[in-house]
Amino acid sequence: MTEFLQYVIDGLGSGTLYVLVAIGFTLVFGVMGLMNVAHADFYMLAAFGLFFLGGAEGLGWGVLAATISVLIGSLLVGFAMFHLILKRLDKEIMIAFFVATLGVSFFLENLVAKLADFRVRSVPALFTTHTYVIEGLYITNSVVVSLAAALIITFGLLAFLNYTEPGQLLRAVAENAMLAKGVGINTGGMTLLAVLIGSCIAVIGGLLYANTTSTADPFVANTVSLKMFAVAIVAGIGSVGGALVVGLFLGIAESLTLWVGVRGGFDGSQWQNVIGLVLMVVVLMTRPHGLFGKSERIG
Amino acid sequence: MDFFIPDSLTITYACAFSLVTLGLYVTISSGQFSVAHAALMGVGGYAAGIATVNWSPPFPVALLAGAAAGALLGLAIAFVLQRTSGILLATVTIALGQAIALTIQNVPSLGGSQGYTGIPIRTTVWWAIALTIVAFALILGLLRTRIGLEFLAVSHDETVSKALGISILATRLWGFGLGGLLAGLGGGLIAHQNGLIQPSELSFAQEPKFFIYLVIGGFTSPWGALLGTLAMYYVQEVILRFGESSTLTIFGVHVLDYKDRFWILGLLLIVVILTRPRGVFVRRSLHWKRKGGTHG
Repeated sequence: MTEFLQYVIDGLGSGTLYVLVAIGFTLVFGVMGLMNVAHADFYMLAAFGLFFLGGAEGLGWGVLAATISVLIGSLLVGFAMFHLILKRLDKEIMIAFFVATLGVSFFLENLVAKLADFRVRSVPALFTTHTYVIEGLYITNSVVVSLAAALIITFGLLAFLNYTEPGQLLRAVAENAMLAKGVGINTGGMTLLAVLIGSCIAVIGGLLYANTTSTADPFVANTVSLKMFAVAIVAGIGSVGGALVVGLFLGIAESLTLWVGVRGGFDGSQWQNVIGLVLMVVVLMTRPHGLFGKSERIG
Repeated sequence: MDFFIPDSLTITYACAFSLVTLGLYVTISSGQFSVAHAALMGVGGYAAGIATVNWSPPFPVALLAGAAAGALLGLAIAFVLQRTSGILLATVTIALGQAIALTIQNVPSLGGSQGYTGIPIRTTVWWAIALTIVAFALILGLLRTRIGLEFLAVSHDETVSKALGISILATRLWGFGLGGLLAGLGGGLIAHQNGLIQPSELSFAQEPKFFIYLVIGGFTSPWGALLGTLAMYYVQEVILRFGESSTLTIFGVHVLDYKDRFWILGLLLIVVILTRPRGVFVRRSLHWKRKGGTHG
């Protein structure tokens, strides 16, 4: 039983990181009606921001300054991405939108990889890791911090979307962009807001992910984006609360695959990544709106 | 730098990738947005490689085995996902492609993550060129037949096509089956050129390459798919060659070496999409009837 709970706790750790990347993605998807494939690259940008700005091999600003710079930088990158690319794309040509963001992702990854000499780099830790032992369970403080961050951010965002005016305007745009425009809502500005919120949250997730793994991998988005698609689609596009539930569930399910593997005598790590994909296909075939998605409403 | 004249290896790869891009074009032109063509290509490569290693048939038969495997997988995907379309179809095909790559990686008899090795090198530049020309001619012909017109109709408006009596399922099966066939053929050529095929070649990370080729060329015309691939593969090789001889450095970082080709291609893709959202070559046929339409 203790062993089982230990795997659940480990799963919560990775689950929170899926939640943090999926929330911003699902928010932007809900508002624009189109997917930003490059969203997962904020994970990579956060880790390399920490490496290039904070690490001894980079500029050596120290962790705190690097973290603050990365957060500000995420807003700048989100702003630039929106003004240079997202808003200029023809939404009628869906493939162009998808491929353009795929191109952004390809560009960013390979540019950063080039700057980092195509190597996985080690990043400085955000805080010193401490492990608590409670009833035989090992709980690291990074899991606690990630979980707290995911819960605070999700409920904060839900409160913002439901109880503040900009949040309600954002939901109006997600529900029906044309009508929202008709009643005088600045749809472009709301989309920018969604992109900025999304990039900021993703960067927080990226920082925590880099802290957990202590590495910066230029191509981390290839795996992270698959989890991001899976969580957002299984939860239902635009469902922030759903992303929390599904993200945590996916993390735990993947961790339990390892447990089943240990018990059943096979290498569970080989099959971990399949779970999200299978869930996604099953949900899309049976409930295309996702488990928590009603229609187009977000929040 | 001298003008780079493509060598036979460059031409072989460019032609093999053209086949995959043409496959992607066929599937997309039937109104299905697939992001699984790297997986279809890889499965074709595995099938062709396995056939050659185990039964050593004549080279064309092995290639046919690869094409058949790609086509069957394409048909299976189209059949399973017959009710999914648009961006959701794109997302599920990403998942399926990745799942196929992971599954192959977990089968020890296929070599695991090391890949399937020991495939004799049989691909020649003439095979690659000949197959590309034949495939391209067939696609040009196909577009003039009823199937081609049905592709066009279904990709423009599924409901109206249904009302006109076009079977959506049949169109989708044709689109994914033919697309898979071409991708599998390309995969067979590549497997017999490299002498091995690895699961990483099937993964999502390989997809942007084909979209760069297709979308820069233009995804509304087979000319776009073919010329886009040939041109972009050439550009890629030129950057590679230029990088080897370049000594340009900025702030101590060696600028423009071979590792730069990917971000340059990504940037090029973004610029092309922003300025010509349908790519460089746009199909103009049937557009004369429409006044101010925005469909592609």
